[in-house]
Amino acid sequence: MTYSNHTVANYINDNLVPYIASMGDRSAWPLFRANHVIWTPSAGLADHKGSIHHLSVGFSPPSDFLSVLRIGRARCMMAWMRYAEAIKELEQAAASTNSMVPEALFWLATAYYFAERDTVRMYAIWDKLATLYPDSPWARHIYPPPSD
Amino acid sequence: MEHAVDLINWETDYTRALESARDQRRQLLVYFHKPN
Repeated sequence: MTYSNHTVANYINDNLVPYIASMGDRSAWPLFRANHVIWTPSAGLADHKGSIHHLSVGFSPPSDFLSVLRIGRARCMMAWMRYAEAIKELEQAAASTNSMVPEALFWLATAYYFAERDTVRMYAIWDKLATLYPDSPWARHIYPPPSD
Repeated sequence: MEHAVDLINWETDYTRALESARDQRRQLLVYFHKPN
């Protein structure tokens, strides 16, 4: 069980407010409906207004899940212009060795763009993503720099 | 799940969870769960 992993649990306790939305609790049902959650377990990362910016469906092994949390947290922070903090999270997720690295690289590039309108760095990260993980679905979401 | 509950300080009240996220400038982890 991923939530019983000490590294994951420590990260959650130190950085997030963890809330259980249980199908066994009728008061939580509107949250399932509002966020189109039809499968459990799912994990949503939401901002302080309750808007979910990142939803992970099904189980993930601990290392992957830690990156899910970092990416989701970063996406929430980017929505509130907390770019420097988001970059730190995404750099850590991108430096890990799990299946979430391509997604972390994708969002890290966008974070550099939002933080400094730095398209050079954005395209460099996307190029790294396409080079290292050409078969990743995330490599298909990028676009090349404009030609001169 | 019981062991996981022991390790994580889960909030069970949504309104309180949102208040806590706002006060601590944290994000919310919403664990969508179905009891066995």
